[in-house]
Amino acid sequence: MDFDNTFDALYPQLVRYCHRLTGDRDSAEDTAQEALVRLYQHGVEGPESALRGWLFKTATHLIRDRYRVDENRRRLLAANPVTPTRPDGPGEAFDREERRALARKALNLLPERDREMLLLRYEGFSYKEIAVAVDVAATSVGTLLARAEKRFVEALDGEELPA
Amino acid sequence: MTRSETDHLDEVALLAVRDDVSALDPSAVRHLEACAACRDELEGLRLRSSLVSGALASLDVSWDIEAARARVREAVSVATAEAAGARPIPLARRSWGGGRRAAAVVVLLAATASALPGSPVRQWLQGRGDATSVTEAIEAPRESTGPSIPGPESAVAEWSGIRLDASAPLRVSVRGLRAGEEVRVRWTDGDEVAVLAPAGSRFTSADGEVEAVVSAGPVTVEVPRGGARATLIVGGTVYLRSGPGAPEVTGPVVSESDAGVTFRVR
Ligand SMILES: [Zn+2]
Repeated sequence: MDFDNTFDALYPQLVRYCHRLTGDRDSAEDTAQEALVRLYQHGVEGPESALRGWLFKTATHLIRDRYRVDENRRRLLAANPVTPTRPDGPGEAFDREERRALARKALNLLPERDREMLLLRYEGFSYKEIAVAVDVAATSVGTLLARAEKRFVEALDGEELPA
Repeated sequence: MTRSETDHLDEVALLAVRDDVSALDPSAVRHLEACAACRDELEGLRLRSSLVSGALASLDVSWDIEAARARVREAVSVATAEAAGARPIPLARRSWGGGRRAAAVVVLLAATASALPGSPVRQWLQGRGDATSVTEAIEAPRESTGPSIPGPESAVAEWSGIRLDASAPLRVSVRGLRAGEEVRVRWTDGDEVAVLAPAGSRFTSADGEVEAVVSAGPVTVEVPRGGARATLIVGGTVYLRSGPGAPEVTGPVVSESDAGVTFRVR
């Protein structure tokens, strides 16, 4: 398995996913790297789609293990505040910051698994691949995803989330 | 037959159509063709998909992919060499697979004490040396080590280290420690960040980033008290962030004092 080909095909998407999931640059880079290291350590081989599934599942679990603790999560969020910057620059820049902050806040309001599933879906994962990555039954992915997406959009709109 | 052609499609079924993930049964297809309400609903879900895509894309940042490639390549080669029981090739002699990438990484573990005038280890330890990195036989820290490097009477062991200016934000990544080994952060009055680890450890530095692949613990990291912005990452986990305010400690702490913080790797 050629390192450069694998890296080019999979790393950029993987680090983006990790960053969307954690909201933290360092965590994203470290997790993506660790997942790739494990891929080679375990000698995982197969078509690109199989490697991708393995990497994303591994990264998802690494993030769960490392960053799920509420205290750590709170600290991560504190280190990456979602408050929009002051609108003293061009309006466009403010809009972008504000939208980013809103999206981060909405994503953080989702339960962990909903967040993972939503992000995987929007990385182009099939229901079956999502089921494998987050350990749910393939038959329930559709229902869970529908709920996750709905909650996310409601949170973006600033509506109260159901308990 | 559980579906009548007069039943509207539920959101899950419409999402499956929108996302093209599964085929509808024929009765549902006929219903969708005939029912304006369900088609409107589907259109609404398509708009929602654009909204979600846009919101998620707004979170994205740009990455230095070439720097990441070098880091990941190195981490993979170290890990696979360790797994094979082989001693990793010294970084300075490693082929990086192209001069373009090699240029992004500065290998600092090149200078040895004998190549430098005076007593570089002593200078380095006292913060007066101009060597950016040394490898030399110096005294091993005692187990109950305090903020400073121990005195001359201790048992001699091979140690190596790196010292970098901390005026710009710095990210220190330590790899290769095993569970139970310690990372000792010591607050100093200087203006440099230093990383010290047993010999055989290797240090690389690129813009704003130091990576230490260590042969064993403990690792000592010196961080200036005066608001140096540094992030310490151990085995991929953020242990500590320092900055203008109080340091943010997120790693597995075993002890904490005015002199520093000691972590034990889990
Ligand atoms: Zn209908």
